[in-house]
Amino acid sequence: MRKAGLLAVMVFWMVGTAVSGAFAAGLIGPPQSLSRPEGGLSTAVGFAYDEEPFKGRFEHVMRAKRLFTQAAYGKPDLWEVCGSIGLADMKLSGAFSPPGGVPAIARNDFHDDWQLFGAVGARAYYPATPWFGIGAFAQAAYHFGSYSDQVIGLAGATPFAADMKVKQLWSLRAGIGLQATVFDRLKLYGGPYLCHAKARVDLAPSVSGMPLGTDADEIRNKTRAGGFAGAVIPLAKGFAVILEGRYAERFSIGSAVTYTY
Amino acid sequence: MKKAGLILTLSVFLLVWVCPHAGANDGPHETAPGESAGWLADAGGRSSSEASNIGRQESLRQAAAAPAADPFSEDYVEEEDEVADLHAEEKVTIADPIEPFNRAMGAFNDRMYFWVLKPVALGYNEVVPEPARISAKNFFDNLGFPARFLSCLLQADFSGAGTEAGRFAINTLWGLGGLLDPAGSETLNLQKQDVDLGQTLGVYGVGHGFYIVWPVYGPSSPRDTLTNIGDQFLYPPSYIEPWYAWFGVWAYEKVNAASFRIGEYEAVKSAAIDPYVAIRDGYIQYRAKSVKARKEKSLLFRDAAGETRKE
Repeated sequence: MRKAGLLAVMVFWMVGTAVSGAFAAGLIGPPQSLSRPEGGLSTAVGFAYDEEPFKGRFEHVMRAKRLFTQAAYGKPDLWEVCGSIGLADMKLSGAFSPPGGVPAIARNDFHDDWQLFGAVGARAYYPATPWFGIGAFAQAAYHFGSYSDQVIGLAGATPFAADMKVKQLWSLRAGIGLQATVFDRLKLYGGPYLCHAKARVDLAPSVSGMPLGTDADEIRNKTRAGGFAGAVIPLAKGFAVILEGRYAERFSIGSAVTYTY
Repeated sequence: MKKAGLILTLSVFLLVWVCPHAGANDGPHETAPGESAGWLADAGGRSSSEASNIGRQESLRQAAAAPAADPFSEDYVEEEDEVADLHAEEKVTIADPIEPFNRAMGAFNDRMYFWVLKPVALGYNEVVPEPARISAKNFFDNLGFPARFLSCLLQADFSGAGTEAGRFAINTLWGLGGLLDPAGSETLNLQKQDVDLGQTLGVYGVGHGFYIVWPVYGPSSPRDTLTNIGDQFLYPPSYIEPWYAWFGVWAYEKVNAASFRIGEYEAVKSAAIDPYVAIRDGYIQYRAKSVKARKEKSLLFRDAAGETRKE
């Protein structure tokens, strides 16, 4: 049984590292499933604030607030699959700032409100001892809507207005996690992860001199590796709180309240 | 559509006022939201009627099983009186001045059930697994929160209102938008309140008026019809547009609900000498029972010791 668990961890890790992964959805979460010992369902509602540098021709920081709900099914000492859906806004710093200062624009940052996103993931866990274990995970997320914002400025003496769209934002994230149970119930976890994220940027009509979107640009996450750490604090009647922080050149934080069926 | 609703509301309102307590021995009067709507209400009503009959039979059985008493002694007479009183207390009746119309509508609903609803529900039952049907039922139940919450508040049942609010929040957030019912689990134990606006009027002593069977909707009364309309205003799917989208959702909800109750109507029908009377009695008994239950939860009808006041 333990051999099978170890094998599953290795397979997940290999798959995870092969896909590499970044600006994914919501939290990474603890390596071990929160479902009942015999297996079952758990759900979560959470909020996350993400910050991550993205690179096109220039560097921009993408910031997003996310509200999400998640359902997961698994067995605590072996595996879990999960899916989540939620809303996220987006801010892309300097998306409108021309590097040479021309054309003159009214504001620098791209910003749009809530759009729908979804994510799926899987994880495996191997309990080395009753209080310590190791696991691996892989997650993929996709933003269904396109974010759009209008840039207004002056090209020479001619005023212009153009629409910028950030669309098809997707990400893959995978890593390994270590988990320790302290004070009998509190679970602390952390580990390294790899991530890859990409989005397409369009600007219509095209405005020469703009940093993004002039030629259907793409942006990708700049830092491909990071680390995460978190805690699972059990509450009463099947509820628990997850607090988590991630670092990949910038800090991201998030929290979720889970319920185990 | 809104105009039609308004006209119907006004007519029912007039009917309620013209026949305030016509014939209704309105001890307890009441309405069940979803259950009273549609011929499926027959099933709900019937169940309660069956329960009531079983209760009566049980009382009689107990009386019969009691040690043989001297028929000339005082005790014997009292026992008989007790049984008679018990029956008198449970006896709830309703006026039925439009019985021919009601019987015709009953026959129409019967055909609709056997020719349309049952075949569709059976097919649906075959194709859709039970967990998915339960999830759909949970989802629609969750959407009924506004009517139940308001009814609890209007009945001064603040504990019920709190339970409903808690259920809605938990099932919406951790029950995947209401598809699951974690609030009803053993650990949380926040059960759905069986409450509607018709019961609210019943709690305050408003009578049924008279018995009426609506096509498709089934057994009702002017009071319950009026409040059913009110409940619909508080039910989010009622606002779906265009009308055929609303109708699709409504029909799906009814078919899904029926898939859990196939056979109940048939059982009532085959057990009753006159199914019309059995369903009418079942309906009125069920409503009476639920109003009584609501009164017991209402703060307005409790004395200082917290006991329900007897009227």
